[in-house]
Amino acid sequence: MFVVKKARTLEEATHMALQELGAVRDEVKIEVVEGGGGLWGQLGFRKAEVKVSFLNGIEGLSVLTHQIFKLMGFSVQIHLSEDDEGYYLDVESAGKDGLLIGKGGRTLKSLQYLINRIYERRAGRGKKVYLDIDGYQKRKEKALIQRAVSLARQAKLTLSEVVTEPLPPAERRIIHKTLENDEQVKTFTIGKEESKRVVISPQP
Amino acid sequence: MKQLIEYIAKALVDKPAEVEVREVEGEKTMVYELRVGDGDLGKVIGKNGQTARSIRTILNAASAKQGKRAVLEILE
Repeated sequence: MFVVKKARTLEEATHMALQELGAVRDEVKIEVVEGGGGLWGQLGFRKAEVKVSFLNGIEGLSVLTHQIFKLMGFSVQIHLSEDDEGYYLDVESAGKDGLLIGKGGRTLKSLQYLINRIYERRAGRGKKVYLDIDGYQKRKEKALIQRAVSLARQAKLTLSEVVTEPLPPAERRIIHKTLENDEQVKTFTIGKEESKRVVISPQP
Repeated sequence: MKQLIEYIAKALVDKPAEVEVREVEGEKTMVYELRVGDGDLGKVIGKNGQTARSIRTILNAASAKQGKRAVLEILE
C-alpha cells in the first residue's frame, strides 16, 4: 500500500502522504520522486514529489506491534521470526502478562486479530501473524496435545466415541493433527460455526 | 488512550484523515467517541462486530493498568 504526493516542499508532500495513510514516520519508506526546492519551489510550483509506502515483512510488523504496546502503556520486548507459514511475535511482558493475555487469552486473541487485520491491509493477503505472550500459547498447545492423546486412549479403551466441548478452529486443528497418525482412532468435526466439536472415534 | 484508538482506527479504515476521537470524562469512566469517514464504519466494526470487540478488549487491558474504566462508543 502506498501513496504518491506532490507539494511545494518535500516536507509538505511527506506530511500529506502520512496523513492519507494514517501512518507514523517510523512505519513507512519514503522515496523522493522529485526533489522540489530551487526556483520553481520558491515560486510556489508544486515540484516536490514523494512515494510513501508501508514497510513490509518483519520490519513493518515490528514497528506496528511496538507502536500498539507503547500506546497501550506497556513496555515489552518483542522477538520476531518468520517461516513459510507465518510470522511469529513472541512478547516478553516483564510481569504484565495477566493484563496482556486476559481472561482465557481474550486480550491476546484480540491483539492478534487486530495485528492481522492491519497487516493484511498494509501488505496484502499473505502469511498469518501469530502472537504469543510469555509462552502462553505454547503452554496451551502443549496441554491440548496431552489432552488429545488422553482422549484417544479413552476412546480406544471404551470402544466408544469421545466428543470434546465446542472448540475454536486453531484448537480443533491441534487435536486433528496430534491424532492423524494414530491408526486406532479417526477424528472429525461436528456442529456448526461457534459450536464445532471434535469427535474421536475408535477404529476396529 | 485516545492515541491508541486513533492509531488502530486509522490503520483499519480507507480514510484515515477522517478518523476523529473525542474524550468525554465521566466520574468513574472515560468515554471515547469514535467517528469515521463515509463508508468506513464497517471497517472498525468488522464481521459480526469482531473488530469493535477486539478494540474494546484491548482498551480494557490498557485502562485497567491506568485505573480508570474506558468505554468506546462508535458513532454512526
